[in-house]
Amino acid sequence: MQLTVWTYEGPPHVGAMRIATAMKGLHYVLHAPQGDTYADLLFTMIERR
Amino acid sequence: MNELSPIQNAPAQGCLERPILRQRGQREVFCGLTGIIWLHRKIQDAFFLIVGSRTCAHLMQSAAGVMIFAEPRFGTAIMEEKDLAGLADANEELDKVVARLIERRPDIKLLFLVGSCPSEVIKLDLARAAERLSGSYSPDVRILNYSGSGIETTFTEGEDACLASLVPSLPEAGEEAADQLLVVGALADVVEDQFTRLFNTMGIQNVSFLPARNAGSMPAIGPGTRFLLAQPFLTETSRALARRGAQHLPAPFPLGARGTTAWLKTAATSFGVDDALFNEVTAPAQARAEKALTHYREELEGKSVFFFPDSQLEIPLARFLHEELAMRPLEVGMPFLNKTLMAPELDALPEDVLVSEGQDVDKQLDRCHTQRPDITVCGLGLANPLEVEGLTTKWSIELVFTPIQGYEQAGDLAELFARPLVRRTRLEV
Repeated sequence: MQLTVWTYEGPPHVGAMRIATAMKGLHYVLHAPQGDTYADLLFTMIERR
Repeated sequence: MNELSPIQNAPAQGCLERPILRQRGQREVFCGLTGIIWLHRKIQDAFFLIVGSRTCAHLMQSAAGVMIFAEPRFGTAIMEEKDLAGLADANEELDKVVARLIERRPDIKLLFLVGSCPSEVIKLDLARAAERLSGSYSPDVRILNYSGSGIETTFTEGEDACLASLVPSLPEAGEEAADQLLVVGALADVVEDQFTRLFNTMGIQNVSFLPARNAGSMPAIGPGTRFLLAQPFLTETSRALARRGAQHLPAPFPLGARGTTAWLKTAATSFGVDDALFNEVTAPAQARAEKALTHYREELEGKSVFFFPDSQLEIPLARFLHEELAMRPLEVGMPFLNKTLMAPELDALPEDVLVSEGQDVDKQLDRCHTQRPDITVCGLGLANPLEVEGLTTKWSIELVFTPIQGYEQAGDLAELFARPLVRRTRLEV
């Protein structure tokens, strides 16, 4: 267990999400607990049709 | 629901008659950890230690916009693989992290161990850890725990869990509890000061706030303490206060001129404040609030509004927009509905408003698309795509971070809804 009061690194799934949002015709499914849905609140522009 | 506890057939009345759409599908909300963003600013000598993952740390940093040079009053004990795999004793690891933290930050007087999804999943017992660590660090540092996990909590439920964890440790009030008014829910300091002045001028002198601004001045409570909720999401905190013998004063929430008057009036009536005195004390501020609202009513009257569930403020906000600005709420969604706390607000909503609890986000988006509201109040993740589709949106998170309660903020609250409409007209020019 490591104490951090700030961090440079995000978790890797956010990086994958950034790539996914830059691509067309791709759906990125994250298998994660409810809390992790913050990432698409903050880092993606969800495309819905 | 067995022979010993049969289903009660309570007669339906008031808001209970209103049909509620309940949905349990995909949700688009923050977890309860995000409450730390405003709570760590409010309680100035407290520290919030999230026991969680790098993802939790990243969420807090991103959501709070913390600059890397800042030393915020929250941090994360990041669980690593050996913690998650049970190869390390998580309690020993946590003790080491807490020791490092307290050594580094001797100003901490109150430490919250905050549970997260990963600590829940490995069943790390933070209640026992808090008890054990309190033994080592009290009386200099008090250590409490609550869960902000997304498995158990949504957004503002984090504040509820935090305040509920504080209640058992509040000092016991003696006879003075009989004339004590407690205002519950984190408010901006400036708003607290305004309410204190109003209550004092009408003769209610013993007013305290939960949470207090620092750990040493948390209010004493006891049987006879009467409390008003300043925020609508404090279900567990209300129960915890009731267990300590405090009495809830059910009231609408202090949003807008009418909401604030009704909220203050509930306390005034309970404390036997004379009507004439109440009117004399509140009339000037009420007039200022109404004047401020008049300006925005011209822009907002008749406009429709649709609420996606987010902060639990949705029903009181819809009541304010409908009653005080003549807007038309179409759907009012909230993560969960506490009918007891919301009854005074729900009764003031028009019959034809769809009240929905929980979320199935795709179905709700379909309803929003069909209705094409003038303003859609929603979280960050939905706002951008809806804007692209030509809908005007309001970020619900702003309504949590901005001081909106009380008379002096009524105009600011209305402006938060007027601004996106004005912005859109400007963009089109």
